[in-house]
Amino acid sequence: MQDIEQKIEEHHIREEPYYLPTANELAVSLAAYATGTPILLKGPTGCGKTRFMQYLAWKLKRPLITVSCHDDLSTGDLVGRYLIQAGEAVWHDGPLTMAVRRGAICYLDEIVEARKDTTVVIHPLADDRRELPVEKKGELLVAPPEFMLAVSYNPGYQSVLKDLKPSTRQRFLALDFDYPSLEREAEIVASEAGVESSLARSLVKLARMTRGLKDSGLVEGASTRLLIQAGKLVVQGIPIHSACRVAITQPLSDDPELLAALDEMVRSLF
Amino acid sequence: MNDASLKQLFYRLVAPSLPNEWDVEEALEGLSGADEQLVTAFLEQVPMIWPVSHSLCFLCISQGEKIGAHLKPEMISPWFKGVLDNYERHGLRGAQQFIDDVPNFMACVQGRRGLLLEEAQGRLQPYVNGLAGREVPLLPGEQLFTDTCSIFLPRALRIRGSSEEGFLIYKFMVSFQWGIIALGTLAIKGHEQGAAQSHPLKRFFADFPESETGRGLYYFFETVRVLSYLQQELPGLIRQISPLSRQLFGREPAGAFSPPELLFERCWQGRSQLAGPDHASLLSLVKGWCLRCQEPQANRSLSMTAAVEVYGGLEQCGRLPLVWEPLLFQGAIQLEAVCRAALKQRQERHELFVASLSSHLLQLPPRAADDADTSGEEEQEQEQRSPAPGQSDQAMIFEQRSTGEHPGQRLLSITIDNQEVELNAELSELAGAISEDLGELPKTYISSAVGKAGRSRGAPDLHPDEEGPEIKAPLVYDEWDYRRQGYRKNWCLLREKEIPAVTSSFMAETLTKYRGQILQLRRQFELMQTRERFVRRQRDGDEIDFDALVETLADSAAGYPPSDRLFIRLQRDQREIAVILLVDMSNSTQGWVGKSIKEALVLLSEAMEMLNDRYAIYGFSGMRRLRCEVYPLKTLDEAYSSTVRKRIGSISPREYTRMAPAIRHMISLLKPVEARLRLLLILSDGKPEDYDDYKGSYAIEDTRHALFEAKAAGIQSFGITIDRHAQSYMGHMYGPANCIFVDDINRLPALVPEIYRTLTS
Repeated sequence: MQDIEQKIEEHHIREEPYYLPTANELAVSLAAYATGTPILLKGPTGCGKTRFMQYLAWKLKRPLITVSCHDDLSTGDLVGRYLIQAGEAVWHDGPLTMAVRRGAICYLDEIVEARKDTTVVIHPLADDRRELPVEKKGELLVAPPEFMLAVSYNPGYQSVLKDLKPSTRQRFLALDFDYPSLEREAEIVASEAGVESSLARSLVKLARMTRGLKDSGLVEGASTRLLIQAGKLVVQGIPIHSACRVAITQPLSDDPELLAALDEMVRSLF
Repeated sequence: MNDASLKQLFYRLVAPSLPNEWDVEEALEGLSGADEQLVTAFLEQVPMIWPVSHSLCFLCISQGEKIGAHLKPEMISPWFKGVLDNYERHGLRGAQQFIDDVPNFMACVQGRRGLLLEEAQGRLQPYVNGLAGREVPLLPGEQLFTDTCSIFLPRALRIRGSSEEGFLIYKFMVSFQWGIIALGTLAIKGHEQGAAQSHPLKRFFADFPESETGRGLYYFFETVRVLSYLQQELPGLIRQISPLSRQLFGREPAGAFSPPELLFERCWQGRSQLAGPDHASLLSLVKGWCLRCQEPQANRSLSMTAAVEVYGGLEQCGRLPLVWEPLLFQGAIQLEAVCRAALKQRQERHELFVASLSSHLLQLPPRAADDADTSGEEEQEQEQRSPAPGQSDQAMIFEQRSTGEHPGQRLLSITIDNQEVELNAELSELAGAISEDLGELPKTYISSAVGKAGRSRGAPDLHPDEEGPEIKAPLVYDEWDYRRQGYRKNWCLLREKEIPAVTSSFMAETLTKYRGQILQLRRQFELMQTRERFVRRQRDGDEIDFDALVETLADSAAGYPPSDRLFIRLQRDQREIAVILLVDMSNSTQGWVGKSIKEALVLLSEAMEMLNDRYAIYGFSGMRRLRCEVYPLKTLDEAYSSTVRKRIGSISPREYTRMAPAIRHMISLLKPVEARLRLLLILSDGKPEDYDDYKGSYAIEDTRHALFEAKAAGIQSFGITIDRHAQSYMGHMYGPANCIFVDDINRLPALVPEIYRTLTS
């Protein structure tokens, strides 16, 4: 038990994470928390979904347990399993069970990456029952009011095969995240990377150019995260052109022509 | 070599064609004075160029001496390749231009010849799309201009400079034209309906007695405005072009590089026409307006005012008319093109809006559109009465706009007959674009969408899209010519044609004949299905493997090292296979060969039903390069239905075997499919061959190359053939391990499913 106590402590967020609200997402989430409704965050990669969850957890003073979903994620990985220790079978709680037990916020990142049969385990947790059956132990956990479930996904590049089941989707309040306006995004980049606002503005301009390239074969444009990384490199003394190249253009694409075009944008802007 | 032997040699090279003797003689005259080596080099090219175009061949040879003066014999072959490329892209005229340009050819080869648009386009197109945030097509044109939807660029930049410099100039041209689009220099800001018929700027220019001067002045001030905008938005670009000042502005900067400054100097300073006592005051007038145009809040009306003022100044001093040659990056103003593009865009938006709104209405729960639904008679009346612009006769329409937060005032919902219809994001964006263009969203747009929705809901469409699959535009594919080691561009026209489904006894007979075999195949294929199984003794898993645990405990009690593989894991094996069967439907499959192929298809399809593999069946045939045909028997997404069975039953021998275009088409179909294994199975009965000169090595090499392309696209191909002479070329074409020869035609039906099983498991 002490062990769990210690583990859960690690998930507390002590310092206020930087977050600049773009719309009413905070008010809605607080209301969702108060009414015990799970939330679904959708939006392009690196636009601040995870950061928002950290901020929310800090605001609510609850531990945040994040699970990055992948296609090999099994029910056992979420709920828990027996392990052998010194010749004995010992039960170990999975992250979801731990969150339910301790009244934490459980955040399933990129939920569509998980197999559909795995996502079904969250169904009873996500409606008004708010309970989690742990079949292998024959236990039925009822979530305390402090527990909150949040999932995220990126509607941009998912294929039809990897869409959420309607029965899953319809249990959540959906918050639509998008890149902030030019001014706000520049403010975020300037504050997070510690660069001048004019440079931050140019970086955001570059990102907005890449985001317009959907028809030219770029699945997703540069995220705010990439801009911050580029900004940080500049602060570290890397020249702006190569910072943009390693932090923005190269991570975006492998296509030589597209890369060349992105490079031209960088050279035009800076 | 004398004329007679030359002529003889030429006839031998073009055999079996027999061109007119006087044509040949006339053409060969062009080579009469050339030295032996050059003549040989020329004649070597004849077999390559003759099949493409006889007249092109004559044209090249007749210019032999002139060409020989500029090119060394070893450069003849690459030069001919250039001729062919130009011919295939731009026709005989393009080839003629290339031939006339022979003095520059060596410079081109050595890399100092500027740049071709197509070389730069790959990089520039995404660049300008990024700048504009939307697709702005870069199109080749006679000169540089923009119609605000696309940018037209010259096909080639003939400058004396490296290709890198050429690229920079192209990039600057494109950026400048983007600036013109972004700042609305040419935008039709008319809220009036007729605005697009005649551009408002046209009237503005016409108001000047010397309209060319007025036009030039307006463009000058707008250029200043765009340049200063570029300076502010793309400082890196301005830095990049500073070494090219001479090429772009015709002069070196005196101090720091400032494009608006250079433009001013270039257009106004040192012009003899302006010299005189009032020279200084004129210049300061222009300079003053220049500075105002560079301020951030400048807009195009300021440039218009500036043009009027400066025009007045020039008039007073009697300096009219004054014209300027546009600079390399400025290009021309083409107001008619702008109008045409705007009209076209308006039309497209209208159609798109009506189509999306009507389908949006149809998706709503019935009541929403029921109100709009009308009976046939009424509707006819309405058709006759409509559409008086701005008048809505059918529905009361209100628009509700969002206010406050979005300054853009987006249209959120419309009210049709008291029913509020909320617009989705796409529609609302479209409506926004339309009202920005026209000043409002015309009511006729909405009423025609409502009418369309009502019609579709009222009665099933009796003529479902008349543009059926047969009327699909033909696809164009290149063809590989091994003799020139290059593609013949856009050489083959391929059409997908529907095969009529015919009811015949074939299907029933086959199913009875192979009853037992089909059952057996189904069982075999069932075993290949995606399986979920428990794998025991894993290091990690969902459950404890108790057998393993007991063993481990016993082991450790006995002093053996215990195993850590104590878990059971659920393993899912996924096949994720997509396969296309490409079936030869050439004339030679007449009779029992064709029947066996059909039977093989039936057997395979029956067995495939046990699997989840996506599969498609296509037949191919055709005659000559302009009529290659592909018949979809079953597409990837189609179920194996009775229609598919009937189509298989109605496969019949058609024409020739031009295999490569069909393969290239299959590549384009398979390439976007997401699968672990993408397979192209080709079933044929002989060599690739067509009615024209598509035979022998040419055909084999082309097919081989198409198969290479498949491989490059990540598609595995496998050939099954029943041609007795197959050994000689099959291995070369498919690669030795990727084909099989079936000697007993009766075994084919049983063998094809077997081959498929082996290939995919």
